[in-house]
Amino acid sequence: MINGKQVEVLPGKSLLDACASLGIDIPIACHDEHLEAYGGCRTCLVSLEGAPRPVPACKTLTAPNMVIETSNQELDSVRATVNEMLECDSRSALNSWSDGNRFIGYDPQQCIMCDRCVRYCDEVMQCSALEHVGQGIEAFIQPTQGQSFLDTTCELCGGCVSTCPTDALYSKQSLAALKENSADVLASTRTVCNYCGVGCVIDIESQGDTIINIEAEQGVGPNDGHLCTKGRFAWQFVNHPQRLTQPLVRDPQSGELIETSWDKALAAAASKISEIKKEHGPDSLAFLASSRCTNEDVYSLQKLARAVVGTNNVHSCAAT
Amino acid sequence: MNIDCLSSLRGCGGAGFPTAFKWQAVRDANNSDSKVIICNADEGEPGTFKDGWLFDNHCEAVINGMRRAAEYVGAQRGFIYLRPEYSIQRELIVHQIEAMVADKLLSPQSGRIFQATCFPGRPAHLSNDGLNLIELSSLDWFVKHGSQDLIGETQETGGLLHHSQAEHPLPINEKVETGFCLDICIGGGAYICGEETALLESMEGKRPQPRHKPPFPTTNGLWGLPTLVNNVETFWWAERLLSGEWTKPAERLFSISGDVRNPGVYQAPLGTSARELIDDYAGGTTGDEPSCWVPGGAATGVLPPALLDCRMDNDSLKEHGTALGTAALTVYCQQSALEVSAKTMRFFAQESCSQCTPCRIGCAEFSDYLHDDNHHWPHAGPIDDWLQAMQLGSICGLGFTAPLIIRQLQKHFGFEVVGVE
Repeated sequence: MINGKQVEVLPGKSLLDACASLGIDIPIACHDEHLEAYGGCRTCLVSLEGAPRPVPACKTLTAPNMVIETSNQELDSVRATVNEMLECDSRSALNSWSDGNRFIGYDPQQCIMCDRCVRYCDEVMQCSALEHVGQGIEAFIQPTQGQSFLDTTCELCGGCVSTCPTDALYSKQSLAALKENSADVLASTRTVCNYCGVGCVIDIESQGDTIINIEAEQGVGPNDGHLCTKGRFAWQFVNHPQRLTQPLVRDPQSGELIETSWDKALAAAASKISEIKKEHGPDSLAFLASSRCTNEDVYSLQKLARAVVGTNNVHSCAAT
Repeated sequence: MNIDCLSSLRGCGGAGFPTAFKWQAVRDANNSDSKVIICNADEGEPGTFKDGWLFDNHCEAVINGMRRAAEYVGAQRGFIYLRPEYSIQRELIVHQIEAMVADKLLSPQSGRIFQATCFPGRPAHLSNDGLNLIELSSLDWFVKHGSQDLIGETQETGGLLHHSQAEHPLPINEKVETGFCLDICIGGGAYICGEETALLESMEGKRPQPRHKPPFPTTNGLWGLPTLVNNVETFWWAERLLSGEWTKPAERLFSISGDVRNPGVYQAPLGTSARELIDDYAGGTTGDEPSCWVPGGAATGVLPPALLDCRMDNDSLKEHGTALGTAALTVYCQQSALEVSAKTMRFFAQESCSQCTPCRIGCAEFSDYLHDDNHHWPHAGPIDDWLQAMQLGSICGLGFTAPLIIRQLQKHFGFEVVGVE
């Protein structure tokens, strides 16, 4: 029974999920689908008949014959006060830290101690590179034992930044890239990360023609919201002045690399491969595929090696 | 074993839960292989010192109480979770355990000393150099196994131990050869470590943050095993009642301190008035009339001198908005109720574990409010709403009872007239 209406839900689900499946929205700050329920923020309190005080919907499992109210005068008052508390919650600026890592920063004054970052690091990454230090209003988040992230088991995946409900943990690169008073509109473009063959779905957030941030949405693609450090943070090359945007072919006389078209570059490579095969035989050639290639790419490459060139010297660096 | 004689006994650690119910719940818990008894000697409630006194004077009886509890619920393993400052008591306990092992009353494996975890960043109170301590937490161990691994295993196996727990230094799945195996666990050192579920967390090597209840420790305690957690005094009374040494209803040990002539631990029947305790037991006050007094440890708030004739039992004190708590009667002649309350609130603010919002923020804001000379309340939400949010929205007893400090000031000292702008 939820809010006076008889309802049927699966047993053993959290009240939060049960209410969501019925279209009842319960606000919560400390919950992330990827994490175990924490029950710390106390914004998701609901009243349960027979319980001495309201219970957190995230941490309470459905059972037969429960009588739940998600809103009443008392609950609304408690929830409003808890929100007021969260708004005035700010850790001392003395607790800020900055370490040698280029990606993750912490602003203690935004932190509401929901522990999502710490739990993400523990439960999803199994890294335990972040810890919740101290007690009471003095508590804050830091890389384990106050070390630099670079000295912990941190993989710099940025999952902590992604799960943070405030801007307490932020991406240093995004902060530097974002132009405050720019007329350029912010846009988000969904695409697939091309760093490896997994095919993580990413959303590239941009301002004009500059990338601001890369995020991933939960429940989408094989990555389900998770990203690795390359996928999330390694986007600086896009606008880098030294980035190669055209194929280069070495001039036979001067030995310098000269920009050329794809057709000419491919023709140059093909003629050189044929020449070597003719002179030294097919097994003098070997083909090595990058781990950034997809299965289909790698299949095509071995086809080229075996059927066209006639060698079994073919390998992918992702196979080792 | 018949425990009917325990019907008069309520837990002496503060919450006052009927002891016999708890023993029955652990006995009825369906995991019969492995159950745990924990004696909560993390005596941290300000003004309370009866547990230390009990180990000083009646160490054997307390341990015998644990042995009886173990026999009743079917536990083979017990721990005394000892406040880290109690080093003298620790030595007494070690000697007592050695003597009882020699008499074959305890398993020969007994007597190890473990060190529970505390909050990262909290300075250690004392050095335990020279002690053969077995650390229950090591970061390397956590990094190696991951906490998720542990949680998952516990749930899947319904509390049976798996490889990762097996590697934990707490010898919870070690086979007890004969008798009852009793070890000592030195507490984490924080106030909240005395909260029974935070205590369990710190023994499991985690941050001592209270767990959400239900499930209760009686069915899902240490590593998910049925666990009986009782206060030192509770075990002592249980032993006296069950051995027939005490045939009347259980009394209480009152820790009387503050501005009295003879502070100390006094045994008195429940329902003795505070004035009798002060005058007849503790030799009267050192000043004139007290300015205020605390009935049962800091968490029970202040009461005015007009209520000194109130009977000291839970029902009578409940009428005045408070409780008997740990039966730590503190008398103040020099300090005002406001000063006492402000200090108490600051203590709570510092000792909040920082897990839940109402306690973490509420205690700190009320501490600032009481310490502010003008009692300026800087928030839009009314004080009553904040008190209610703490009382209803917190996870554990620290947050539930902290609002009592303010409520008692309002109720008995007319604080709302002075306090709110």
